[in-house]
Amino acid sequence: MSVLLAVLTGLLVAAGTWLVLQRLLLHLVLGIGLLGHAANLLIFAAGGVSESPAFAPGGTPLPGAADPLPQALVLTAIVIGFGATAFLLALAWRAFRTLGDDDLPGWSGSEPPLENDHSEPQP
Amino acid sequence: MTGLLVIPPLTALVLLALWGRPRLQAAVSLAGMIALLGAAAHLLLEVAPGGILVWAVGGWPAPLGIVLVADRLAAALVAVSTLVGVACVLAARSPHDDPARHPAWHPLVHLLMWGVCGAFCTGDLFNLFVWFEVMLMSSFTLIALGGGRERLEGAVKYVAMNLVSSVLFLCGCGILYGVCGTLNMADLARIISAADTPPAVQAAGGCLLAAFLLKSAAFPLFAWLPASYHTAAPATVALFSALLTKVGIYAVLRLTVTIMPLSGTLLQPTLLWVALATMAVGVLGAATQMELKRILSFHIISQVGYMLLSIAIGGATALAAAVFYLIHHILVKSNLFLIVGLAAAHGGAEDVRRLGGLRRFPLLYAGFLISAASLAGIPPLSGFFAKLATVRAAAEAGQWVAVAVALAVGFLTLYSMVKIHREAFAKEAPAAPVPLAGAGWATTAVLVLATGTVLIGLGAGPLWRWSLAVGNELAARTPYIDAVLKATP
Amino acid sequence: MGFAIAVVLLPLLAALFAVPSARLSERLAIILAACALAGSAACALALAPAALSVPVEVLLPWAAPLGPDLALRADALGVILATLVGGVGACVVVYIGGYQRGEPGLGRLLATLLSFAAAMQLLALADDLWLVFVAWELTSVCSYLLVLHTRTREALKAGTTALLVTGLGGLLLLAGLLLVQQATGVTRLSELGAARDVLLASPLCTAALVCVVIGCATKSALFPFHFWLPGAMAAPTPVSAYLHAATMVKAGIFLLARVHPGFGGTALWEGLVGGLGALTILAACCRLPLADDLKQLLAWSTVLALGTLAVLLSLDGAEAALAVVVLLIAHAAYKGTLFLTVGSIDHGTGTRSLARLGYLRRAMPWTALAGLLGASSMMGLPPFAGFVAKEQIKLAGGGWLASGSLLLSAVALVAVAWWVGIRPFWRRRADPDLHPHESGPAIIVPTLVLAVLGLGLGLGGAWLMSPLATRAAADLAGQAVDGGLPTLPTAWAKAGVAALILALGLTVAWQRERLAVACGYLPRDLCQRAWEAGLHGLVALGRACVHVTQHGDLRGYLAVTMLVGAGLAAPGLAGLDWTLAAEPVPLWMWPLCALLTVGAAVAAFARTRLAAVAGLGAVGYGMAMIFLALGAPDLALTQVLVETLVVVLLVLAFRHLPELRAAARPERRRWLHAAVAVIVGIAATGLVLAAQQQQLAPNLGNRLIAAAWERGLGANAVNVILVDIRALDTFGEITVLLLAAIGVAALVVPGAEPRIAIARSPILAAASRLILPLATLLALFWWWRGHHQPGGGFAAGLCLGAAIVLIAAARGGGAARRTLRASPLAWAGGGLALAWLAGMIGLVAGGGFLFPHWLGPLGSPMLFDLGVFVLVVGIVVMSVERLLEAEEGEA
Repeated sequence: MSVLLAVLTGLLVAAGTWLVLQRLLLHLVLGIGLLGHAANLLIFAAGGVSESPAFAPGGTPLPGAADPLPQALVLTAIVIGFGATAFLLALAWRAFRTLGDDDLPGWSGSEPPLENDHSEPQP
Repeated sequence: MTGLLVIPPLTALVLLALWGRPRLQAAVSLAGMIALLGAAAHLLLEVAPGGILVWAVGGWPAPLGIVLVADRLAAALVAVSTLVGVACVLAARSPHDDPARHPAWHPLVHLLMWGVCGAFCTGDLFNLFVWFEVMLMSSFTLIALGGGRERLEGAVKYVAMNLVSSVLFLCGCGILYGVCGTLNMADLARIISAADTPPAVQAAGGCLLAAFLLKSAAFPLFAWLPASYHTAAPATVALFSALLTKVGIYAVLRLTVTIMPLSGTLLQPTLLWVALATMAVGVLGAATQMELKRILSFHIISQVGYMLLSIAIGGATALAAAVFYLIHHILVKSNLFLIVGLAAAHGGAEDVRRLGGLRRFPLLYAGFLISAASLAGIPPLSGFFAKLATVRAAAEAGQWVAVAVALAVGFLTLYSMVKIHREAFAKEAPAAPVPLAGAGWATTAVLVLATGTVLIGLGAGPLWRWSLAVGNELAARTPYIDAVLKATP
Repeated sequence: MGFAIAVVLLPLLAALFAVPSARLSERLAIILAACALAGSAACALALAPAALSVPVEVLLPWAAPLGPDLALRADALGVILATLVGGVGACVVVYIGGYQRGEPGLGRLLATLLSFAAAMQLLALADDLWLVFVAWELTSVCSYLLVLHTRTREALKAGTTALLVTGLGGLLLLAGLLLVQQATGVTRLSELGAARDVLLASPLCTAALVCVVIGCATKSALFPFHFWLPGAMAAPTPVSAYLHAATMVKAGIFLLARVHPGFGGTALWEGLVGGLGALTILAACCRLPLADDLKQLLAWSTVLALGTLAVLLSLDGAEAALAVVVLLIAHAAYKGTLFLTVGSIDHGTGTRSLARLGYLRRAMPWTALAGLLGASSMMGLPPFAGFVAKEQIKLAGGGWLASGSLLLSAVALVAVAWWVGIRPFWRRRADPDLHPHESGPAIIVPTLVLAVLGLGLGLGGAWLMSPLATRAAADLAGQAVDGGLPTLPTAWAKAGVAALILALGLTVAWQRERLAVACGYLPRDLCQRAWEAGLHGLVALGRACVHVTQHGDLRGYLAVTMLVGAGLAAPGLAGLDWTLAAEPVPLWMWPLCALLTVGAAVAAFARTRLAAVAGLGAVGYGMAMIFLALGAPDLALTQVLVETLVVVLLVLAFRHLPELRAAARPERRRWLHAAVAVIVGIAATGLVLAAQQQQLAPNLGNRLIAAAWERGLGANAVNVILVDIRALDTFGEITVLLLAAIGVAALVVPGAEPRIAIARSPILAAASRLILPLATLLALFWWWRGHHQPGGGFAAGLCLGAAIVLIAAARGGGAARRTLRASPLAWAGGGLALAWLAGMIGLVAGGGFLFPHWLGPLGSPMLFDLGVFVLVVGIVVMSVERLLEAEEGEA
């Protein structure tokens, strides 16, 4: 079970990595989304898994209850991930509107190639 | 410590309510930042003699809930950061800082400061992640404010790389909890040192280290910084340069010193070489640049290398050097960015070759001379002592290669500062610089920070002895661990 | 003690007042500065009696143990240098008053000059190793600012070169001092002699010696760093006289003399210092005949003198030490005189060209007198100070290399003295276009004072210089000097050599043109070109670095990031035991695995936008099902809602982007990317397994569940953790959401174009009206029961948010805003305010910020959760509405 979750995590990470290495803006967004999922799954799996929820109805924990802390962490991470995705989409939208292109390798205006003349100017 | 936690969100909320009323916003923002500075100063005075303040938030004891811990390092960093915050908010009142006119600027800055204060003070690894996110998310918007081609390109790179590093941080956090069953830093430290840093912890540590090194802009993960910083507005980038990478370095320090000492693992030599490469590549990059903010951006990287070097060397003296360097660098770097912002506004260009004659602004010139000389390590300013502390620590550890690299990097730093001085300030201008109306606010901020630099130089003795005490405390580890675990039985 | 401090402090104070006083009156500023420097010299002389017996020492705490303490020690050598700095400085300042009268920036020039003098005095008296470095760097910086004063092209370039060369030297010196300190533990220069044996036995000794010597060589313009000095002549002439003849360039020699007790006498010292000195002499001699500019001639002759001093320093014995000291003094006097003379010529004729000048003695008699006196001293004619120096040099002895180079330098000095001090005044021919006139007294008087000083020092050498100089030499050599300075009668006896030198020198001077032709064949400026090539090389290296690390392609950056993450985790992973136990996998897991795999694959390889987004959505829903199956219903609920909204947002944001076209552009590096992805994926798998393999301590699970019930009063431990136990995390996290909302508001600004009505579905519109109350109820229900059952503020907010999104989709963004009755940003801010208030309850009622307080079933954590709820509604509506409206506006 845990091995399977580990393999699934690796799979998601690989897919996410593959996506962020693609050319297009959408790929970047999707890739980061997948990596986020992978991180959530990783926390979840690394924290140890159990099939009964972390409840204590009436004050007695369910037998073999899961550890609630990784769940809380994952929940926080999901929500932060949602915020990040919403922002990233807004940024992507604006960037695309401004640059008129969604081809990432072409986005090197903020780091233009160095000029060819020697950079030490003669005063 | 409560003040640090309560004031910034309140200020930010009030500022949000004042959306679209710039004058009120600026006034409230300044007042809020000064209040925060007061809280930070109070905290510093409280712990400066050598106590460690521990506060279990919501009354939940240590491994269960979140604790905030203010040792001298954290308190000092918070105080210096908020001082820079005040200076930047002050500088943002000058009219050349266009994006600072945006109604979102001030609330974002306060939330950024909140994230920074939280990150410095937290004693919980996952809580550190949350503070990182608060800081990052505010910086994301701050850097993109105002739009424009370059800015948005830079922002996308900045955001993408930092989000990936957040993923790495999360992974490290999750693994560490899985292995150690706790997220409290002191508890982690206790468990890990009892087990002699087992491989699984090292693996998680590697993940976390990668995340923190990216935030500190260390080689080879610094690409986001030169890609984006130069596009941001002066006050924004001054704040970023002072705080963001420093929080990364602080995290590296906490991880490699407090939580899991690296000695004996492969990560220590790796960190040392990373530090050296960071110093060298950053300063070499700066030598190739001709635009003010680009030059300085690359210099942030090389300075980060100095601090990482001290951390990698380890031991009380080296850690004291790192502490000293952090404080010096926060002040000087942000000041230089404020100065070049003004310089570019007066001279009407970013490229140093098209600038000139800025020595005609005597206050700005004085601020530049002090900050640039300090960055280049000219005595008796703060940078000299910071560099001296670093190379002496390296020499004491017998790391002569590191000494050689540090000094060579110092030479190239001098080269860059001379380049800026000669081109932008000393030579006659191609076109006479036009004095900027309302630059007084920014100039005041510059002078405040420059005074700080001079004072650090003059008071280097006491400050160093204090840093040494902090270094001893950090290197011993037990004071921190005991303080946290005993405060919350 | 007071005097020692005054030596440094007087010029420093005067520097502070220079600019304001120059605003009032130039004359006042000059007088103030000259008095300060003369006073500084007087204070230095007042220290002389003590220097002969027990030197005055001052110790003020500053930065120990890290850096310098203000430890001053006025020994004989220090007093000599300090007197020179103050005395020559006073003359130069008066001279500046005449030379640069009425020029703008005089106050600034004076201030910098005085700061320089203060730094120099500090260097002269400093005893602390680090303090020496402080003073050393300050002189470099002040010198840079002084050279730049004229702001000509040449000045800017020369000043930069000078600062960089001396700055490099400074760093080497720092390294050297660090090595010395590490090797011996000594932090005082005066203790270096006592620690000599420890130093020489240390393995660091060689490196320390080399670093210190090279550092000193840069400052004193020794080979191969001699090139900066002639360039620095771009400075105003009085500045050159002061810095580049009398004082600053002596700093290197001075420091070499200071460390001589530690290093002197070793073979490496003799070879390095002597070799550099000899090479310097040779290099200067090759350039001297080529110079036409009088200042250049003087600069090269200064290089020559510095080389001579270095050669003398390399020699053993008291005679050589005494020669160093005497030449140091004599050179300052005569070279200063000649520089000021040249300045006067420049002032009176407007040129410094040797070819054009001549016959000036008529028009400039006083200048001619000064020139004559200076030249005589430089030639070593009796009874000038230069003569004493030359005689002492002859006594110094040494091997054939040292003797030969000393002879060469003596001859060359005679020639230079002739060219500079005699020829322009006494030559018969002159450029007829020159209209020379004598300079004013402010220029003449200080020049003559220096000239007469040279004469006086020579005449009264035995009793004027002897005690201090012999004491300094004794300190330097580490042995007593017997016999004192050569006096006239003893020296006349050996006049033969002196006559020979004089004759040779005059012959050289006479044959200037032929020598120039001969020297013209020699390669020139090799060192300078090497230096520039070195700098170019560094910049080229930097370009290579930037090219590799900062190439501009985000994908490369991300690949490196992922690989570094995997790489740093790898050593730990490699240390684990990788024998895995087979575990049973429940059947329901397999379809979920398939869903995740297919979803990820579709997202990764889809050819259309919609399919890719759907792939991501499938992964998200798959995750939700895993959460549900593995005891995390809260997670599942939140994940489903979030994923739905993310898919909606993705579609909204990307619907107008061009269609995916991966196939249209073949990717060259796809195999590389695939490899990176696989490596990183394997590392991630390894990480999860690592966490499962090694467990150092039990997790907090049961303690948390128990605590959540007992103190948190909730059965749903996850929710209690979120709103109470780790409420600070949640507080930060909802702040992130607020920040995202602000970001969206700032970035996605609806276009200004008029909206085009979009056909909307009436059925959807009707349904949306129905859904709102239902969703509100459900949301409130989830919020209410969240503490005990799956639900909570997040789920509630997402639910209501989704309903309003539906309204927006059906009836437009305006309708959504009307439903909310406030801007989404206000909702988001209000949510944070509620959470903040919930925290403040704890602060006010006791327990601190975020301390939970309960009143029956209502508690501050519930209020906190309500804040979460409200804020989440805000961010959801904000992002959807903005992306929707912006697109409509753009359409």
